[in-house]
Amino acid sequence: MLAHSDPNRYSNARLMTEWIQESLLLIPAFNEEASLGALLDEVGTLFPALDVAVINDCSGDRTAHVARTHGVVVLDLPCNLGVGGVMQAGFEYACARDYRYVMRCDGDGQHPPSEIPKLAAAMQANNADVVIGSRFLGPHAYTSTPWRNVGIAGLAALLSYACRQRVTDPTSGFQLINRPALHFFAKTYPSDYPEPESLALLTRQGYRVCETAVDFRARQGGCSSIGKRAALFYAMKVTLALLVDRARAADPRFSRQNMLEQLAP
Amino acid sequence: MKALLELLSVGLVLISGLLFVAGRKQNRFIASCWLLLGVALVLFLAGVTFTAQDKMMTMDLKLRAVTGLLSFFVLIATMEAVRRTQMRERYALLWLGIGLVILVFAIYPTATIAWLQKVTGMQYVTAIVVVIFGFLLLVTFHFSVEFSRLHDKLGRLTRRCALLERRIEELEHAVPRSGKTSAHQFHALEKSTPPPSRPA
Repeated sequence: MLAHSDPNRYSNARLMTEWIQESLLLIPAFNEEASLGALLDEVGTLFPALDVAVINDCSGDRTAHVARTHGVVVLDLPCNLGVGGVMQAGFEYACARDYRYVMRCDGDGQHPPSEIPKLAAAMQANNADVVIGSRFLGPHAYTSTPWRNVGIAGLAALLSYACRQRVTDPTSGFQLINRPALHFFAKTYPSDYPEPESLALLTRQGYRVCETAVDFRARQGGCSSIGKRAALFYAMKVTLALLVDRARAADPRFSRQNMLEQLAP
Repeated sequence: MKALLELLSVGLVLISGLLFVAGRKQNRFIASCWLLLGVALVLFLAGVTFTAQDKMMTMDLKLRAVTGLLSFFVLIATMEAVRRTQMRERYALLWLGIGLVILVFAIYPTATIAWLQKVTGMQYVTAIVVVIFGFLLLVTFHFSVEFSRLHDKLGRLTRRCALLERRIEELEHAVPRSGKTSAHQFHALEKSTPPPSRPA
């Protein structure tokens, strides 16, 4: 189900414009004042019609102010919830506004918004519910510190087994999500370090997930939320969550089939 | 000697209970702590005098003294925490249960030992350690479950709060400005003013 996608597939400009109009870009931000402004400028010039919501996870700096001066929607969380809670707030917002597609893009500038059409093309080509931008599929393979690479590879192997399909970049936060998956995520989304677990939950409920190659950029400012010790905790927490999720009965209300029926007009 | 000790422990319960009821509101907790310390000293001294007569007996006595003190401490601290509204009654029940069980161990060691040996085959010391440890494990487990639930609720509230704030902002944009502060300005205002001090 891997999509070595071709952006030209989305050559129909009118279709792309329509698609952008019913999409929302979610940017989780925690102390990202250094990089957020540039990212929002870039998004604004590339996709002027795209709605953007910055979810400020109780930053100590002027993240919310930067976002407001760029004229985007700001969801200001009064307590720090971590990425999981932040994303769920965004999903709830998108559900309430009835968006059809939701994109997620990190506030540190690692995810180039110019690659969003690639995600959209992959979604269309594979009839997928969720598309993940993978930094390991492309020709410019991304390299990190060796330990982190080992961790990501191990996690990818475990997740590939859990999902019964090949997953190369389990921690990627560059995603495109369609309406049924969005409603699923708004109801239930994992807390800390949610990305790998959320993929396992998706495939378990019958949603289609696919990856597409994306060139990530270096971080434009701020620092990773995952330090050395936290990385070990990350690996253990996610492994435990993946195992426990298998032992838990899948909630039939959130299955893809049921969501599609509920969302049908 | 054993009868004396039993009398002493029962007397202690009564005295501390009386102090609890009659004591001055502000100093109750501190008074109870001092009382416990005094009792500990007395029992320790008593234990020392017994040493010459029967070593096993003294060990038993000391252990009883320690468990008795522990139970007093748990009971008093729990009641005090409830009184100061630092602890809810539902958690206090758990702690009071623990305190009472330990107290029973201190007051009726022979009966509890006999019962425990019949049930588990453990010695007195091991039994007490196991019981206390088991209870503490239960409490911490209970707290982990409770914290997770609270974390969940906190997340839900936080998200709802952010969405509602956004909604207020939008509504404010929709209606003509009345010259009042907008939602996020109000929020900034609220942040800059110090929170109201807790009533004493």
